[in-house]
Amino acid sequence: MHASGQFFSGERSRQTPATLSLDAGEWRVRTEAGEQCFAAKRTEVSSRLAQLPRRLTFEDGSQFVTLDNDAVDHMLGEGGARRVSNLVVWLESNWLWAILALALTVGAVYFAFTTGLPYLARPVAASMPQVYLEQVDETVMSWLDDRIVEPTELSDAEQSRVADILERIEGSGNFELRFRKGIGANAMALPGGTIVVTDELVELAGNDNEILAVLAHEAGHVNGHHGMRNILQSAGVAAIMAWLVGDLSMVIDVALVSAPVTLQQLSYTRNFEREADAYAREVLQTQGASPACFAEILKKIEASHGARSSALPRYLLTHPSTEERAALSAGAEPCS
Amino acid sequence: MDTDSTTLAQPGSVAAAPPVPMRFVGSGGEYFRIWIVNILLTIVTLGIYSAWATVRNRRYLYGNTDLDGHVFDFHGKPTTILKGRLIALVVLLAIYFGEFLHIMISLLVPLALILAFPWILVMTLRFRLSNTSHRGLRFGFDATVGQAYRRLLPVLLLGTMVIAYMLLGLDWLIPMVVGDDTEQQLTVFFSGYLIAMVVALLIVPMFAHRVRDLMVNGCRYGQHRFRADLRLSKFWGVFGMTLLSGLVAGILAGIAVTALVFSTIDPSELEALPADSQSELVQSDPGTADSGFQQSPAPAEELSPEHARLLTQVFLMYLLVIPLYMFPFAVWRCGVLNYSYSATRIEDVRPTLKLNPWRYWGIMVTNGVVVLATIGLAIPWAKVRMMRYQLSCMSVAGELDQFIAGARRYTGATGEELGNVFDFELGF
Repeated sequence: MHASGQFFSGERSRQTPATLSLDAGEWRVRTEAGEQCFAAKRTEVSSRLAQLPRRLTFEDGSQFVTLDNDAVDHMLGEGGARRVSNLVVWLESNWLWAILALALTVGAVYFAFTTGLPYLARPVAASMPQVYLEQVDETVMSWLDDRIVEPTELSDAEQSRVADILERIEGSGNFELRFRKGIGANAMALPGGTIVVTDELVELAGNDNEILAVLAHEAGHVNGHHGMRNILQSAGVAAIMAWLVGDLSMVIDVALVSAPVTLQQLSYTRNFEREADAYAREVLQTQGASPACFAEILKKIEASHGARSSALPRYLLTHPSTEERAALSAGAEPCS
Repeated sequence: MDTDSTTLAQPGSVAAAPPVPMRFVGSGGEYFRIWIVNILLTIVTLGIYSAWATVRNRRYLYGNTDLDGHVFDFHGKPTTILKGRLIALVVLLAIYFGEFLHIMISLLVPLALILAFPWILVMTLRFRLSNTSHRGLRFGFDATVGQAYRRLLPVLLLGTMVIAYMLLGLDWLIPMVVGDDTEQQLTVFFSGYLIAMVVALLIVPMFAHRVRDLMVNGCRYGQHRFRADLRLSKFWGVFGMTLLSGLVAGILAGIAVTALVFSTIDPSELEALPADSQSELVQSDPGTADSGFQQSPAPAEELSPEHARLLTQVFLMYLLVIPLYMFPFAVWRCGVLNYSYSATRIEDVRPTLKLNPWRYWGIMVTNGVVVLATIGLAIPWAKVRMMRYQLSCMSVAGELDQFIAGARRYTGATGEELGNVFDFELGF
């Protein structure tokens, strides 16, 4: 058995026609000038890839290159140095496997995004050091204060009324209540436990139970570590996409990686909202208030921002629709 | 576009062999199979195999690049790539989580990356070239990190200052100079911004000239250095064409958008738009960190006809505007590559590159559309298509079997992996 190909001395770019055979643990390269032997143990044989020429690099840097992949594989088999990498070659050369790999890849990525990452992010987020989380809150707050919100104008009495309501929620020792103004009726929870309530929201609320509903929703975000879970899961999506298709040098690269990241992140936040909503209804019930209080304040907030409907489809929104959220407490007693 | 002088000189000076065209001899289908099987293996091994996958992908692309009956070869070791990739991952994670620690960090990171560019450039070229061979001889890259900084740092610092001004000027610099009057602050800042933009534009051709000069003259094949006497004026010429085509593309994009907007939207809808986008800002910009209580715009359960139309228009706008803006990019890219390749000599071997900006642009746009429409599955097909075109525009004249091997140097893959992570477009 032998393979014909070309021999390069490794010193010059000129090639010589040659034949190759394997004999007693030695590769023999025969050219017009004669025969050279190289120890098979110290020879690097490139792994087979499609129909690419096969390259044997000998210990002195000279090379033998041949298109006869089968002959090289056959000789390697005879010489007892069979290579397992032929499994990969076999997978790559078969359309059936390619289609199967495609289906499995899409399935695996979908599973990782929807189930795997959320499952892993939960314990990691719960064990993040509090010092770091509080620093994150500080950064976000200073960013908000710089550009978005204004200092509160609520009186001390009003502030402590809201603080007292927050006291009624489990885990209130972890919350840090702040008041700000200037973005309309709104409230938000940061990863480290900071809960921001706007003046406009306090003024909008008809009674304490509506404020309790809002605070309980935000407490749901804090207790569920939603902020950090969201950060971790989104980072995970980006990392997976970049790791799998990252070796691109194309303009579309950016779009391809960032679009799924954004869409997936929005789906995560919508789920967190639903979780926080459920938590709010639960708190209202244990505190003897009607879950309808949550629906009530939601509708008021929506109305206060001006009645307009969005042109965006549902999967582009950060929150579930107000109708969906309010419907979950339909049939409960009216809020008082 | 700037190749005329170099190509005209050719027939007289090299008497011997006619130019040999370069060819891509692989197929998109075959590459797709290799690509997808290796992605699945990467998933199955929880990411470890990705380095082996990279090597197989690259070997396929190099191994199907044919010059004069001989293909190129990629010799990178998967373990080296894996090591570099892990380091890049750690750096990326540190940046990602560090950015939440202080508002300044997110501003300083881009500046730090700009300053790291020469190092990443040299490391990437060293790894790529020293692991590439043709006819049994390795390529190499001899320019040092020090040389790269000496050539590029002045321009980079200027660029960094421009970007720093754009990012931080209004918050830090202007209040110090002007005082507290907000209106005056804005006036001064925006006039400064205009100057900064002009400076940014002016340093582009200078920077490109220095980078290309460093890249080409640092390369070697065997022991033979690549030489190119690149002239700055040529880069200015290409840059002028780029600006001109950008202007035309901008005007066309403006006409297209205006036509679309006024054809169907009635004025009441336009008024509603700014309010929507304002509430979006509050919602999404603190981004990952907050969990706002209320999504301001109430989502519609079903899309009304007007909304569907609005969405279609936005979609059409993107479909029109983005390709238009890719055109100046194609002009720049083809101009720079054509000139740099065609001006290069390796002893008496002379490559010639004749990319056509129109064809290049057409392939770029159609590739982008197809890849996005197939959520990335057409990447192998698109890559092969672009490579096939680029190589078909390249030919090499001169005796290719006269070269002698040179010293071999080995290098890690950290620089290249960092470059990949941060999407530095080096463009070989």
